[in-house]
Amino acid sequence: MTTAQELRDKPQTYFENIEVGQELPPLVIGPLTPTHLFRWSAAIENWHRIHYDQAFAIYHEGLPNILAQGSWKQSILPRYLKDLCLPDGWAWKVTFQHRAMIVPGDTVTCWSRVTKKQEIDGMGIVHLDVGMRLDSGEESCPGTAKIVLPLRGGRAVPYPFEPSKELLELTEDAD
Amino acid sequence: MGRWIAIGKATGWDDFDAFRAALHATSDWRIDRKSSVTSVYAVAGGQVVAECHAPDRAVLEAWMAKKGIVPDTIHEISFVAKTGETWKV
Repeated sequence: MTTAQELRDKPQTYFENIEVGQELPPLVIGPLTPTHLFRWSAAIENWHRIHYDQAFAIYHEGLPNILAQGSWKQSILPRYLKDLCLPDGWAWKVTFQHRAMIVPGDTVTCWSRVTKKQEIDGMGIVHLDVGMRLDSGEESCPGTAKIVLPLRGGRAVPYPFEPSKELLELTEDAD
Repeated sequence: MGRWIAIGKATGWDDFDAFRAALHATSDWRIDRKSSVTSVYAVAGGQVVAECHAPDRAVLEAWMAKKGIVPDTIHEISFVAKTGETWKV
């Protein structure tokens, strides 16, 4: 669990601090409970019964239990990347697949590994493999991401970060 | 997907701490991606009733053996009623 104050006090990770192949600090959440899942359903008004009605999920849908929402995963991975970049970096992009189901009792570990570094226009573009691993070892959300980190003593990453056409081309995001 | 009810006997499961230790962790009830033990009741006399959802009955039998439950009978579930909701399974 990370508190708001810990995030406020978090020291900046600079481009120079990381290397290709490095595993960045993980975010561990769980064990999840039915209450966690129900609160998310309530917050986003997702009333599909597979997320809160165990009898429906099991007997009607044939599922192992109620399921964590895809939108929850879509909120957690960007949050993880945002927290890695704080206070002055930018979580630019993330794309991932929904694979293994997440159910109550599971503990989820968000992880990332540096696959490429690019210094462009005075900023550090970091390419990552990312995912959400279950305590069983199964990978639930394999994907990739790009984050932008400041260089030590360099210019600030613009807020909001709006990549130029040249930067998009150089980072293979021109499409 | 098959649904099964097993009745058997488990030594020591008349003690709640032992019962909890044997069943609390996710890996204790989520056998694999397709198989879950959804309910377990410990009843008088050391008897145990366990409900399992699995593609094959053998999955439940293997789980019971791993947990030290000696099965008396295993039945395939046809219908379920839970607090007024009924399901054909």
